[in-house]
Amino acid sequence: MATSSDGGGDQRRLLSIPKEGERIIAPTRRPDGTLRKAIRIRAGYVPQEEVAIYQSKGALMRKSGPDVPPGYDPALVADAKPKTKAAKRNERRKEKRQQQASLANDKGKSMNIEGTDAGETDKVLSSKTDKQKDSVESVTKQMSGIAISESHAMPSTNTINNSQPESSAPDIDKKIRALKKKIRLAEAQVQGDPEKLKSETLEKIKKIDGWCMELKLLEDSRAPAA
Amino acid sequence: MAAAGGENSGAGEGEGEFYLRYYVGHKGKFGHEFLEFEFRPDGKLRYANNSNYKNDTMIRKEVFVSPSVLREARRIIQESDIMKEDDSNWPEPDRIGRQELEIVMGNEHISFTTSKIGSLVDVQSSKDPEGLRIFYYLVQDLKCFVFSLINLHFKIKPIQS
Repeated sequence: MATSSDGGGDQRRLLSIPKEGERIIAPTRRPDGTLRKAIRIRAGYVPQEEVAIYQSKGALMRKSGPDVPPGYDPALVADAKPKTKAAKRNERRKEKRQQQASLANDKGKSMNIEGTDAGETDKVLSSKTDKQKDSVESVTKQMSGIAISESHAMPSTNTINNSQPESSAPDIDKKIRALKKKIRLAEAQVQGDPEKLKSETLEKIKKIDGWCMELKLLEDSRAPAA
Repeated sequence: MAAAGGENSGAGEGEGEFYLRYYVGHKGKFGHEFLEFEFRPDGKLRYANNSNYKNDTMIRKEVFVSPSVLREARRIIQESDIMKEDDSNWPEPDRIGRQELEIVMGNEHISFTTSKIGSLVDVQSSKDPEGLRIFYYLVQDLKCFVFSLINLHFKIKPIQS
């Protein structure tokens, strides 16, 4: 208890003697009339409520005076300079331009001529529409042609299907001829030189029987194809 | 409204009942979301934080604090002079949110209700900027105090080495 009271006393003394740089805000009054505490602000600290609200450059420019181009100096504008030779020449040119403007009235007549051209453009447009109709008719004809071509496509596929079995027949014929050739050669060797090539001839005799069997199988398979 | 009574000068600083409750929350897209804490007279501190944002769930924590902690809470409230303020000129709770502060200290009892405060600009533009500013800063201090107590007690490593 005693220590806490001493602490309170020290706090009061510190508050009563403000340090260098400290600020004390006067107490405000409550709605019921009583005063609030004075606020002590430490040196170097800025309370949040005192920090200025940030404004962008655009906002600042808007607030500062009327809309004037940058670099504007009213003093210079006030001074009226005497007309120079160039200014005089410019005035003469302006007069000439005015004369040309009067010539523009003549161009107004040419505008009437352009009106007649507008009629011609209408004729051109009508011809274009006729061309479009012709193109539409040609497209319809092409559509009918497309249908005809599709009907042609069907028999072509049929022909392709027919050609497939025909391709297998010549293969069988080739095999048959090859086997017959082998058989003839083997038989010739056997008849020609029986004594010299005994071992080889024996092997071929065995093969001849196999070849004959293959021939029969091929001829049997060929029959249903034919 | 503040119902002010005379303090018992005979009793010391530690005497008298103490109760504090603060609530800030709103009801919106993710349901009722709020932060609430209270100091009970028996020294129990209760903390609740509910948010359904991204499937968060309710957080409830309770902890008993020592008399020295209660004394510190009393000191914070005493120095702020909040017991003498009046919330009749403060903004009413609105759709944005709601704040409630209830304090029982000695023979005094106050209960404030106001809307959420976004920043000091909201305080300055209100009808009672001085009183609302006291409330604003007191709530900041109380939040820091309670968050520190909860972290010290519940975190595995509250003081980073």
